[in-house]
Amino acid sequence: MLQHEFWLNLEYTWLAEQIGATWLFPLFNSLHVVSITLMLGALLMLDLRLSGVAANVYPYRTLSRDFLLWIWLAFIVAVVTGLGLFITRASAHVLNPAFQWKMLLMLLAGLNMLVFHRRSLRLSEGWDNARSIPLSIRLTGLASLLLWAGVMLGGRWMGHII
Amino acid sequence: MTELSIKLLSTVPGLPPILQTIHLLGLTMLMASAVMMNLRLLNLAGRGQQLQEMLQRLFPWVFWALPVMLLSGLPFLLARPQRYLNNPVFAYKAAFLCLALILTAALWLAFRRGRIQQQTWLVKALALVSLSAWLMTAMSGRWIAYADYLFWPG
Repeated sequence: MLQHEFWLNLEYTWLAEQIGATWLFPLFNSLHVVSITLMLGALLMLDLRLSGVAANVYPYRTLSRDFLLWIWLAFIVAVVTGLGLFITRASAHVLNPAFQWKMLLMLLAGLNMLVFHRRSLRLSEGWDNARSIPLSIRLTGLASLLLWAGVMLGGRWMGHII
Repeated sequence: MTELSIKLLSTVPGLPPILQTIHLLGLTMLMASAVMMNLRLLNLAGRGQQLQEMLQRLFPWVFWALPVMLLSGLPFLLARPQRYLNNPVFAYKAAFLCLALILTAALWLAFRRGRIQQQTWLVKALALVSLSAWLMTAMSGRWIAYADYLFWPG
């Protein structure tokens, strides 16, 4: 499946050729980096609150109202720019172990988010006001930080393998 | 120092991407705090949080992130100084960084003296410049590798 010519054909699409041959590539690359730092920065603040490490004076909900929109907007920019970069060398990227790790860790981060959601819905109202957040929730916050740091390492390592 | 940096970067397995990731994680800490503070000063985000308390909480992150970024970036500069010092994009990055540092230091001093009580137009204007300077520092950092796209040699 990873050897399929579909990946190679992606590289010959009009869009991929435009990005790969012009200054669009560095532009996408730098926007990718900036959007990731903004997304993970906001996520860092939220996850540190969930883990009970920082900003304990606020209920989790106050912070999630402040940050969630920014996180998702930055994530969308990162995905769009990331896809733009990906299609310029798709066939090589899918075989790149660093890229494979990155995708796996991102999948796990998504699953971790679902676990957090299910768990927080089951807890009684007002759990997020408490100074001591339940252990299971704190662990999802911690896992999120570690997984996303791994995603970043995988992403940075990709460029050293190709 | 140059020899040591070259030796470390070329012999320790995976050191370049690991150092670069630490640089990026430091950037995440720094950008998150700096962007948050400046957006709060501009009243564009985090209105549910008190300004004084937020500055008190976020400034230590800025001060911790800066040495992390310096130490994780310095080996690359030392290993190949001519790659950076002759690169016009690196000069831009240094200029944006200086501007951002000066404005952030000014904000910190004003905060320490209790002068950030209300957001006057001056405070807002400086916050906008500071926010842009941090974003441009990060952008130009990535463009160092792509200087040829901007300044075609010959």
